Amino acid sequence: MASEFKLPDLGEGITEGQIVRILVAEGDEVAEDQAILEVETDKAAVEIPSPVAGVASKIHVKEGETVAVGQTLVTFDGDGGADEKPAKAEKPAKKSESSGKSAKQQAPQVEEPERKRTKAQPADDDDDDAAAARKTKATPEPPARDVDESTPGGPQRTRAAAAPAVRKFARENGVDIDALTGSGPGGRVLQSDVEAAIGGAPAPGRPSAPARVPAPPAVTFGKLEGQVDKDNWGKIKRQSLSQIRKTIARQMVKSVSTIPHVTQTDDADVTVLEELRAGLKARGEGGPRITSMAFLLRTLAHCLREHPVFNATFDSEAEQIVYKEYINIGIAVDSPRGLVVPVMRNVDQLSITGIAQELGRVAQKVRNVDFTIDELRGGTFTVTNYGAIGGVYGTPVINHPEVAILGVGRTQERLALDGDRVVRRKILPLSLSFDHRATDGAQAARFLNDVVTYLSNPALLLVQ
Amino acid sequence: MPRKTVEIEPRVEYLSILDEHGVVDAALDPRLDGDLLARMFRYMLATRRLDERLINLQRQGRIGTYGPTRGQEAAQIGTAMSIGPEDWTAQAFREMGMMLVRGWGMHMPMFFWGGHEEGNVVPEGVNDLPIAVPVSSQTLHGVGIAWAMKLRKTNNVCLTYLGDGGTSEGDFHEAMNFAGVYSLPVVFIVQNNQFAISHPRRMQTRSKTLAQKALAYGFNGIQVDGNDILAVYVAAREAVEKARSGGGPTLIECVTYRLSVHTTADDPTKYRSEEEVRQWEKRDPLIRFKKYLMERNVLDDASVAGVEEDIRGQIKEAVDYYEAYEGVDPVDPFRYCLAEPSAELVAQQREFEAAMRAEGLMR
Repeated sequence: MASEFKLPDLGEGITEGQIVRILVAEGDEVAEDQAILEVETDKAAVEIPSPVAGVASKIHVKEGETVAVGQTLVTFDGDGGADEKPAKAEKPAKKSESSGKSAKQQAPQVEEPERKRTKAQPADDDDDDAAAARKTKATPEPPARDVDESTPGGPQRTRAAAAPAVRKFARENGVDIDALTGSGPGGRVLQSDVEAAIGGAPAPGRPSAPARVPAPPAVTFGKLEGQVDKDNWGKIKRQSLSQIRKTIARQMVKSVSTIPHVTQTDDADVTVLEELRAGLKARGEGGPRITSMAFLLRTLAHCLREHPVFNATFDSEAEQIVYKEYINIGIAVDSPRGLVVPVMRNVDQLSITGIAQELGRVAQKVRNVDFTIDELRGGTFTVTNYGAIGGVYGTPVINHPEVAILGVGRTQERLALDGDRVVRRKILPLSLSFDHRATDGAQAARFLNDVVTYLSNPALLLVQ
Repeated sequence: MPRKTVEIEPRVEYLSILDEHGVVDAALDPRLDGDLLARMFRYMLATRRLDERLINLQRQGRIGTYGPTRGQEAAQIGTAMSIGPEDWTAQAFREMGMMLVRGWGMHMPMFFWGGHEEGNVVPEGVNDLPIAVPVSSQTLHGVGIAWAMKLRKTNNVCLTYLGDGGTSEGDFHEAMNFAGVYSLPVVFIVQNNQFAISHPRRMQTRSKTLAQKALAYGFNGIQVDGNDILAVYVAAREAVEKARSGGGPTLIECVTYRLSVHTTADDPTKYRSEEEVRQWEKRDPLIRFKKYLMERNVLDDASVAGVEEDIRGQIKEAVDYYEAYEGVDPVDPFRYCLAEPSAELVAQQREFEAAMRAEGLMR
């Protein structure tokens, strides 16, 4: 017996939700209450358990799709779905007394449904009446008096649906509103219908009505997602924002519209550091891969201690800078769902190996989309390593309400002067954006200088 | 003329008997009868499983919004089991554990949260007030009942349940004052689950404890580990005995934690950390109590499995029963408004029926 499972109202007054994940495949055998879908609504992301046991014969939705409450999600072949109730109210059978159990098990049971009767549950001794009572009662005949005869207006007249203001407008203009055909939803008579009936002319004997704003053009609802459409220049396609995209958009607008951003750039000569890394790699397998990111985070942890204003948030309401005594660095990562910023906690207390390990763990979690909201919170400074993909300098957007963010470009080989000799060096391009309300360019230059100094002379890290 | 400290008599005690690791304080262990202990466990487990099922039913669209009890089983069942059927309770809306103890059927929360008021009709012979959603209103009703008990010279008591958020309401303070002034046989059970919806306990009051609120009204408050059913039960028994023998009211603050959402329309990740929840999950009232019962040989793996099985069957029966219910006739309100329906009402009824038929909701 097939049954359809439709999207229920998951919160109070929710009208739609976005399918975040589909946890079963078509043809899968599903147990009752097994999680089948993850749906995100305005209120929360929740897992939806299967209402039935059976085979998910058809999945009607895709990940990322926005579905309306009442839309069919999954068709099941099996025992019967939530929509299929037993035809007749079956009274739960009287449970036989638990016999043959140990004394421990004979503890009184939680009351069984039939023991406590309520109006929802009629007594045992009037089975038939009870079943009948539980069935929807037959609608009684309305009293003989007919409404049409007792209300003015005569038989067959229907009263038009219209707002009181429109009725008044019609009355004032001598229009019989009940004779009009409404163009509004459900045949409702709108002011524009009355105006059309008047023919634009004010009723005789009345001062001309003030100029009316013409009825707005029909509201255009958002074009259907994915539907190929065209504008004046050619074909276009619309795509609704995913929930995470919406969040990113909101955060970005908040940051750029409230924080006066300044971006300074500098280069770190990482030739020595890269040699050091090559040496570590040569040491062999076993430990985590020590990336330049691990060195950079170690450097930042030290420099943020020295320049606390960059390890802070800006509280514009209180007009205060909130210095953080802990160093939690957020790392902007391109995840399968979009940009996320997992936070690495107490970076200053980790060794370079520890940081490398932690980086590996975070990367794994992001790849598997296995992180909690909590792991994205509590950052004091952010690093965005777009150089892992490409690019040199950038103008990173600060992770509101933090004070600064460091953009890291791709390490490049460049020619440089060593005295009179031209030498080959490895250069790491850095871009620091900061909140100019919290601090100034001179401070930023000092901070960036220190970062560059440590990265160029990694031996200095050893004596911290 | 002098400036001196005014001594106030009552004190706030804190009571914990069974800690989160299942270690019991031998001196404080009430050494309850095995049968009683097994019943406590059974109710706790039934509450937990029914709660889990109700959340699933909501997620499947089979009931409406639901407010889970997860984590508060010890606070509710420990107190509810300290009184007898002749005593009364005045509850709020998250007391499913207490309701099961008192004799409400497992199907009733389904009816209530499924939008059928039949689920809020107190079963015959049960001395409870219905579920009260307006925060703390029930404390006044509970005090009223206790006052009647005193006037009638019965030796019964009334428990009234509320949460930490409820202690910020005016009704609560009026109830407390009345209870104190008239020395009424009422026990205020404050389930401090740390949140008034999303509002944390620390932002609720500057008071160090909620128990001390009683001091201002001239009676004792005690704070107990609300996840320790032994401590809850011992404190409740003491308060109930005191009230029964004319000693007046007590406030019991059960320090617990709402492990689940406020209601199914809530997303707690927006206001509390998962780390905090993980910490409290370790203090789960069921884990430690089960450990204690195993050590006392009240339960073993086989008997726990048997209880689980029984509960599963009972929940299934309750769900089947609920889903077989066809509800009331939606036209009923038109029938009971006026003895003689007016023409206008009849017209409205017809219009309503037509709309229901158009929507396919009525034949």
